[in-house]
Amino acid sequence: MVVNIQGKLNQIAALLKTKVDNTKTSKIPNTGIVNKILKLSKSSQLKLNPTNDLESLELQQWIEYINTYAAHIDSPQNAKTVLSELNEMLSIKTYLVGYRLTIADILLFYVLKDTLVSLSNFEKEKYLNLCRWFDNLQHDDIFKQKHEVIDFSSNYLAVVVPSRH
Amino acid sequence: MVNIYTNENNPATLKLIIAKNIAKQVVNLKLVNLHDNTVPQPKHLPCLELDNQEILFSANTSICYFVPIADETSADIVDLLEWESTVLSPQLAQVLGSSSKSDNIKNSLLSSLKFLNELLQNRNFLVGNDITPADIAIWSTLYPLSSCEKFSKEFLGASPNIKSWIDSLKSRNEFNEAIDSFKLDSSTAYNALLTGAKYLSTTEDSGKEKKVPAPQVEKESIPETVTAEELASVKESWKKDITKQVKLKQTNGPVLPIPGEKNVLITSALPYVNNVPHLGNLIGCVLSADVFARFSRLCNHNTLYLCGTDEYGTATETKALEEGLTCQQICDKYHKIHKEIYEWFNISFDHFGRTSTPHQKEICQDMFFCLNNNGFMFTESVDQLHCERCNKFLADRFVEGGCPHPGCNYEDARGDQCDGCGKLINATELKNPRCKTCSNTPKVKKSTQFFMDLPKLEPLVHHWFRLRSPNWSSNAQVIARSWLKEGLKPRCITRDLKWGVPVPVDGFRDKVFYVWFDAPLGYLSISKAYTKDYEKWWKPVKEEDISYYQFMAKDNVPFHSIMFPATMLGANKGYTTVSHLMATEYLNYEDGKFSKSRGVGVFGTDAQSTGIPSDIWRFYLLYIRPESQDSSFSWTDFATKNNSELLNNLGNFINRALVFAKNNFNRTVPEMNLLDEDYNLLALCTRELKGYLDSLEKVKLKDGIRHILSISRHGNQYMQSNQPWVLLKGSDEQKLRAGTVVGVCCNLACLIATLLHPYMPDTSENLKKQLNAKNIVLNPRLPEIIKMLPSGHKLEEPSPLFAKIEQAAIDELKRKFAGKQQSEAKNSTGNSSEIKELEAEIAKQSAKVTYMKSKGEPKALWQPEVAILQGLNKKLESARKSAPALNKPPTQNNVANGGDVKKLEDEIAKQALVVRKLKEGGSEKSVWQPEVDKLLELKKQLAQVSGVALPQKGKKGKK
Repeated sequence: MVVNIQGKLNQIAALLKTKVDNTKTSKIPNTGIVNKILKLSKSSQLKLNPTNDLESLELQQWIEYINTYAAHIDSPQNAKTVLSELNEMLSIKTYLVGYRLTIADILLFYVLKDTLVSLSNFEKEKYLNLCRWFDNLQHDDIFKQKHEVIDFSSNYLAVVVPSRH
Repeated sequence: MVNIYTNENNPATLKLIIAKNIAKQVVNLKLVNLHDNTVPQPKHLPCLELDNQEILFSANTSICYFVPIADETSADIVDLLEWESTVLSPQLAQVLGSSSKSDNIKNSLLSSLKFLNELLQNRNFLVGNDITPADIAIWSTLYPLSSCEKFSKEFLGASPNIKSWIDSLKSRNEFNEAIDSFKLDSSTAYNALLTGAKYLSTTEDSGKEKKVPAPQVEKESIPETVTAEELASVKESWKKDITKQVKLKQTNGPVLPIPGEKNVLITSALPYVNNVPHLGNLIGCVLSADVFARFSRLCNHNTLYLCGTDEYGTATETKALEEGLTCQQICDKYHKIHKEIYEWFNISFDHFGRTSTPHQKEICQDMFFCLNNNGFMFTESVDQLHCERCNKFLADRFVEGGCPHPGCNYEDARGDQCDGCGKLINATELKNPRCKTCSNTPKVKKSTQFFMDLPKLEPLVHHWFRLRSPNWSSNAQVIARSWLKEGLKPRCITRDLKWGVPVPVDGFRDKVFYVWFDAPLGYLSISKAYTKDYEKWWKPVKEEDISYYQFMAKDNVPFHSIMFPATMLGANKGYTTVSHLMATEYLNYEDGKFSKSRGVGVFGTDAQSTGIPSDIWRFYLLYIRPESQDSSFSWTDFATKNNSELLNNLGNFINRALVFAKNNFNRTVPEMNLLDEDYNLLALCTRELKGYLDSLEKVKLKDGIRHILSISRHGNQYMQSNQPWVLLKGSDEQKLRAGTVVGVCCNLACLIATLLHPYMPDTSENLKKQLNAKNIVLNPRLPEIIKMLPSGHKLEEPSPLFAKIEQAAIDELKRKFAGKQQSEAKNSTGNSSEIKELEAEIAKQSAKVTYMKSKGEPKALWQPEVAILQGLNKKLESARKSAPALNKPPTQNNVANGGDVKKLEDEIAKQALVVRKLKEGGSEKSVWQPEVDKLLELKKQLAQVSGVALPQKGKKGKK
């Protein structure tokens, strides 16, 4: 099984107050997701679209990554690979593309959400950059109060442990 | 200039080269290995590094960088690129590039090709009338397929359109030049594609696969596939001569560090002498440290493992008062208990010392002078509680009173911490303080004490922490960091006590050093008691590099990460400081807490009385070691793990192998002639061995056990699929094959014997005896399986390693310790009648409240009733307080008549269930009250029979 991206698209459409355009763009089987996502981004009132050619390319590759790799996150083995890769790549990034929120962030947010909810505190610490990215996003205005917030306070030990016998 | 990173032979790289040819750009092609450090994240190959350092890790996106998609046709191209990246390319990589032989994926690939063939009907290009990124992407991916005769026949035989399309594009310069400049070996190109792209496998396909009832399902269910390199290196290792391998070092006399070798100093937090250690203490420090010490010795490192009892301090004085002994007597008594417990658990200390020695005094005072001379000490007058009747200052533990924290009404808070709310307390803030010895109200008086100037040392500690902490366990790092973040405050290191190292300065001679300062220095004094050359470990010459590992539970981290290093750094004499601070979380008992001060839980001495061997205890405690979060000890789980993991998995595998060798091969290791399948098993086990070594090096002890169990799991599967018992009845060739299987299994058993040594030393010894073998040396840098038992090696008589733990026995133990636990809750003998009356009233009142609430009456009505209930509860608390508190140390169960007791306990359990059911069902009190009476009557009988007083209602030992 893989994560149901189509289902995530409907969630995103609701979030962006727009609709998924389900008209098939071509007769090529098992495709159409990328086009739908790009259309969603364009039809939204929010300024999500890339502003230059390089950003367009990055957006394209992130959607491909999510579609080809992140969508397989529902097996534990794959989850480990994907989370580590993302964690590495996000070590120097605030958003996936350029310096702004794009549809790629939103899509990845929905694809990862269920997996991140089930992480233990220890694992969360392992994927520090990824969690930082996610935490930043879940507190973004567009997500505010729409979802239960995942707790990333990695200071679960910070209750200063008394040192004594 | 733009860089392309790629592995060799990867067809996806053609995409980039063709695209840049079309764009007429110059690029720099860098051939790399996937794991090179230079490969940009996420380490997918090929990838494109742009001038501004941006990385495009998707090959299709990289095409579009060189050849942008024109707007009018974009939707079609985007779909095709999506199809290529999510469907076609992963299918090809999996069918032709991996060893997985799934008909499912192959069929999907064939239908993809069929679709493409139809799409290309009467067309020169995929979209429109010119080359687009879609052509480049799909052509590159299919090129090796078409250029390899075998593949082409099998996959493109029915697709003439694809073939002609590929050929027509191939004749173009941009394409032609690309295949000339980047050579591909078609037969292995898809392996390189898979390696570079790191496609993930879908569970969907393997799910379908399992439904096929093929005879080899068992073999194929080993999910890991072994690479050719792994196989080659396994074969190489197996050939090595075991007699030429390094032997384990034998040490005569004290272990000392040797320059140029790996020297490992291990200490576990010094257990406080005043009590019997419980399972949580064991796993937190001594047992964890022991596993690591044994492992370190197996690696031939110079390993010194020290521990001892921490004997000075207030708690000893309190305990001495309780038991009516002198402090020295208490220490002697409990030191012996500790020592015996650790001996029973097979803890391999090089020395188990104590802190009440002349060495301790000497080192402690010496260190104090050092710090004082270096300007890190100052004196200050502090407010302290002074009891006039006893004529002494009361240390934190000698005073009790009401918790000063708002909202907590706990009456029995200690001077340093409240057991009710867990918060720290300043003794002078206690409400209604009373002296623990005489119950007199103490007065606040001034007393001058020495303080360690931690703020002055802070920069030093900060710098040191940054250098040393990367190898610590993460909780230790977090705790230490949070202390440093708050800023260090001066610490009072002396106290007005008698039992301790006296402060060697005039005017302070009636004071002693406090645990903060004194306890960690115990490590030095204990090593001095071990060897006169102890300074070789503690003040090493530069080239004698010493790795210092400390083991403890997380509550001890501030001591070891701040105070102790600050002391050592402040002394400025080049002392060894901790390089690996390994802290565990807490271990709970069933669902409650172990508590030293209340005596709740299974203690060291109890473990012995269960009749379960210490190895099994070690195994289970390490299996549930609270490494990254708290864990809990559960009797049921204990039995399950023993029966499933040890007995059915590990024990079963080893015993089967050895019994086979005995019955069919006359107790010798048979002739072995290994096939690829056998090497495959060895490769899988080598992976586990590597995992084991990696885990233990990083002190992930919990993971280490799992790797051992995986080895025997592989072994069991291997034996099951080869069925030597069937082979033995067959032809000579089959008999030889059976011999190989049994021989390989015996060798795995021999490997397991060594790997088990750190965890279960007795079992390991036992197994080595059966195998007539010795421990091998482990080399974490070189995980390999050598033929340890060559053909013809004589074995000893096999016997089962583990025994089953029956559910009945577990139930019995569970009851025994639960009962005991309750009986150790404070028993009131004095005004028990008053307490009983109050309890009855409380029960009545709470039933009333519950009833009112359940009927949905407004809060205004039931609120006053709740207030009454709270008042009653408070009264009950204070009634209990005034009952004389008897804090007896845990003793063995003194059951008079076991049979009767057991019968009664059973009945009580049954009756309690009846009551609970009734209450849960929401029955009227009139219904359940008679049942409750019956229950109370039963409990009374039990109390008479066993001589153990009733546990008080509402004050359950565990919840």
